[in-house]
Amino acid sequence: MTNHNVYVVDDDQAVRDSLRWLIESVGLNVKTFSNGQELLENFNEAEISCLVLDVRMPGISGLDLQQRLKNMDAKIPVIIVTGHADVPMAIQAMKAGAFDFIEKPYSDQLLLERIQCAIEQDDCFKKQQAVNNEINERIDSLTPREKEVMGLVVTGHSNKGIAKELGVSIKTVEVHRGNLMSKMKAQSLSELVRLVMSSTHTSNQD
Amino acid sequence: MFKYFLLSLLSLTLLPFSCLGADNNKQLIKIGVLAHRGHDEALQRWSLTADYLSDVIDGYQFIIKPKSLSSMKDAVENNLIEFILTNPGNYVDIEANYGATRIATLRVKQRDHAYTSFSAVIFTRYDRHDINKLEDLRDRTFMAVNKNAFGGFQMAWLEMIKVNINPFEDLADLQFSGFPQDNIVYAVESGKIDAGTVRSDTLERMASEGAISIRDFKILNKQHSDSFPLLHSTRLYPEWPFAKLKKTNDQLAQKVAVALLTMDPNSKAATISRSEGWTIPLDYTPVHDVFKTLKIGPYAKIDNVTIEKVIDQYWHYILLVIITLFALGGIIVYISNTNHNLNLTQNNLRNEIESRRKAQLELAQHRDTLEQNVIKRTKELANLNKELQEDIIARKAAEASLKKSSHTLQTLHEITSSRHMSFEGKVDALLRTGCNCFNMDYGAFMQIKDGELQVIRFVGNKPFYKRKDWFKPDYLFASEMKLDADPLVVNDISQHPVLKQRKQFTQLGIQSYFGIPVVVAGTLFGYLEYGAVSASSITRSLIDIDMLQLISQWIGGEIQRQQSHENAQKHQADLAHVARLGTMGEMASGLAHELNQPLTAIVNYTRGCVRRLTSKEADMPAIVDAMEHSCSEAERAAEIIRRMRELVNKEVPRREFNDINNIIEVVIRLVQPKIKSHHVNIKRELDQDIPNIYVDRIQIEQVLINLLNNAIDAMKNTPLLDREIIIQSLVNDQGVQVKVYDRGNGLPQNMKSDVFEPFFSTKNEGMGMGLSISRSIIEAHEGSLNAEQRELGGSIFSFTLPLGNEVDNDES
Repeated sequence: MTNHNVYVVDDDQAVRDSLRWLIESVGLNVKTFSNGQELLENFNEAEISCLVLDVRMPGISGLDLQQRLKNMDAKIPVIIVTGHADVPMAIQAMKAGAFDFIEKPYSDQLLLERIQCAIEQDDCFKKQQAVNNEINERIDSLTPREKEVMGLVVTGHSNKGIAKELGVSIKTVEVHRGNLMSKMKAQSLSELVRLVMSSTHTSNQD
Repeated sequence: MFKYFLLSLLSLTLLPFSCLGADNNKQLIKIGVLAHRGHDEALQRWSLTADYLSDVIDGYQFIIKPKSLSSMKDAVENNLIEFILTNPGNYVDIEANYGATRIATLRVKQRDHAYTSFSAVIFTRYDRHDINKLEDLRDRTFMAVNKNAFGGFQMAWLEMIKVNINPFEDLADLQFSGFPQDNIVYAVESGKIDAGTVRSDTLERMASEGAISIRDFKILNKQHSDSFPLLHSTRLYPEWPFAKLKKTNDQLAQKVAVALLTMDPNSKAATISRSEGWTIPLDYTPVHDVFKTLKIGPYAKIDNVTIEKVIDQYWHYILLVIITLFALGGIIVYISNTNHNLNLTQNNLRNEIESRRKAQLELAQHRDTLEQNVIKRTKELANLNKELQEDIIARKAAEASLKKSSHTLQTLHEITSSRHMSFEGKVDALLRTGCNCFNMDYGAFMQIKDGELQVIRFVGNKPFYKRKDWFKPDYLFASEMKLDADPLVVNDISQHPVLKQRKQFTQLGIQSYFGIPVVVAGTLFGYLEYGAVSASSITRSLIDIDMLQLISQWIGGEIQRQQSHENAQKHQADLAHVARLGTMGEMASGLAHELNQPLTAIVNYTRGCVRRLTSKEADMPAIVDAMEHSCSEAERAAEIIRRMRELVNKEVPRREFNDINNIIEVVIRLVQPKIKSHHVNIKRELDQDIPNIYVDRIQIEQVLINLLNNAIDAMKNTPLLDREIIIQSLVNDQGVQVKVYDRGNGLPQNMKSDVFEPFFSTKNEGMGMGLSISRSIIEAHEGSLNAEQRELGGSIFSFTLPLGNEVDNDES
């Protein structure tokens, strides 16, 4: 539960301060901003677990801010808070991928619960992202020849077939294969396939 | 008269020649019979009756002369017949015009019954379902026998008149078939005519002859009578009479009557005449009544017809009489002329003697009158002289009082038209002037409030009253002074039956009194009074009374003017209040958001506290701090509510000294939700050295709210980054000015002045009352509200309120 940062953007100082007081009561770190511009200037995706935005603000509105973050490819869960909700506003927020949409005055229970959920989702996402990063690092450590061999291994070629394909001896293929298995930290062929697949999956998604 | 004169003249000059018959043995008696079914039929029907009469009555030969309605009249008129046998209508006509007398009534036989009455049948074809009652005859075609036929038309005519149908105007067509009536029956049967009328036995007779079937007809207005079973549509009228004419010998008539009444009902004569003989004559007045109602027959134009006819017939006798009269007249004129001349000469002589005697008498009278006149004239001159002297004295007095009143009026005018004095100051000055003018010790202006008198202004040598003294109602002398009464003048209070009982007067030693009611808008407002400690010996002059009335009227008028000014202000305030309610309605959602903010904060703070306290991680100073914040948020919410309520509350307009910058801040706060939601940037340029202005705070807030709302609305289509309102306050020559700049659409072209008109609006929502009311508010504060186009685009709305806008309130 520690080291999670919740960012609050609200132009009303009292609301801002009171939110900090409330959210801190469940042991989360809170950073507050009085407008969207201020947030963007201090934006660090890795540091933020959850963003609480007021819709109605001078300058950049909550919904605009959400859209900008989406355009920046930021994947932080956003909770939109509004004093006067209407359906079009809610639809716009949800379409832009808001984690939730809460109307003021809200029950503290609800808000805190939603913040917890958002943080969990963010944790999960961030862990996954960390794994992907690790795999990509291992792949990056392979030599071009090793990458070539790995590509053929995971598509089901035998050593003999690979040797024939690349015009090298079976022995050479066996050496490359042993190196890449240890570099990829794969214990078995099936594990290697899974690592490559998840890496491909993330790159496809981008 | 003329008619009788002529008749008697004729009877004197002419002996009537009787038209005695040619037969020496038997005198020929002609019976005129109405041939309603043709000449031959009449002869056939009645000849045996004539023969019967000839047989029974010796010395007379009776013959039948069939007549039509018109030839019957001719025959009667020219004495060509002695008796008539005709229908009742024709009979009453002749009776009235020529003096006929009925001697018997026919007993008409119909299917073994005899009827002495008859009626008319109005009928149509049985299959005419559109004609069921008399009213349905309107605009139909109708047929009758003859305009003058009694049973054959006039009876039906009367029935139609009873249902407001005039047969000559309201029918589609009215045709007269002429006798016999059978034609009418055939015309209706064939459908050529919508409806018709015939005598009551016609249908039954034709049916019995086999000519028609009664079932082919429908009877309208069908009547029922036990004694009269025939089909009929009208009341019953007596049957045909046998009548003698005026000149017919009475003894003969008597004989005829006896013969008719004794005729055997079964005799051939009776049978062939389709009767059972005759009965005693019936009453024919119902027939007269018909004629009277229809204004026909004898009741049409009796006199004219008779005179014309008489003149026509006897013109040569009339001429002879006239010539004789002329000759006689000539002789009389000649004799009287001669006589007259003789008389004239005699009279002239007598007159001359008389006038000479008179002249002598008058001369004597004149002499007497002259003497009397001289005495009277002398007396009058003496009187006149005396009056003139009195007049001169009176004029001198009047001149003096005129001078005095002119001087006082001058003073009054100076006081009332003064620009430097307040109302109260003017009243005091008037009271003082009154004291001098009326020679009194004090003057007071009192108002009636809740049945008591309050002294509002007082001027006097001694402290008789204190201002704001209150008097019990027993001081009221309403019974002494009516609203429109003259001033009450009491020169010696001890002599006055009512005022001497007022203890105020006895206590203060007031002896003389001079007072008048002050009337405002037709109701008693209070009193204006003067008093003195000494009894006054002089009577109040008319000028004094006029003066007092003038002062009272001026005060009353002035108070009324002030009141109506206050009323106008109140009306303006009411209007402003209504508009505020509207504005608040429009702002409600924004204000709800504004309230949500502190409420959210309060919930956050307290929940945070609760969580910390229950988890026992309580950091007490932090919790106290949070509770403090929570409290101040609650106060903030309360403040918002208070501001809203102020605007919505209907308060009496109350002007106080206010800081315009503070008003601006409050308004920005109120409009903040809208400013935020429209992403408007608001910029303040406020002069901090502005003196306070004397205004109704709520109303000025209202104007500013209106201007800010308009400015925001005007920028709906302005790019977000350009949305800016500048609100400026400054002091200039005219006073304090507040300007609101926007970057909106600007003013509609050529409509700069229209924007202040009621119901002018460029917005889709809203009443368009905002600017109109804003202007009325600012103008009520003696300021001005203006609009101008901004060079950069957008508009500037500004208002100016005068400095030292303070009511002249010299004393309180």
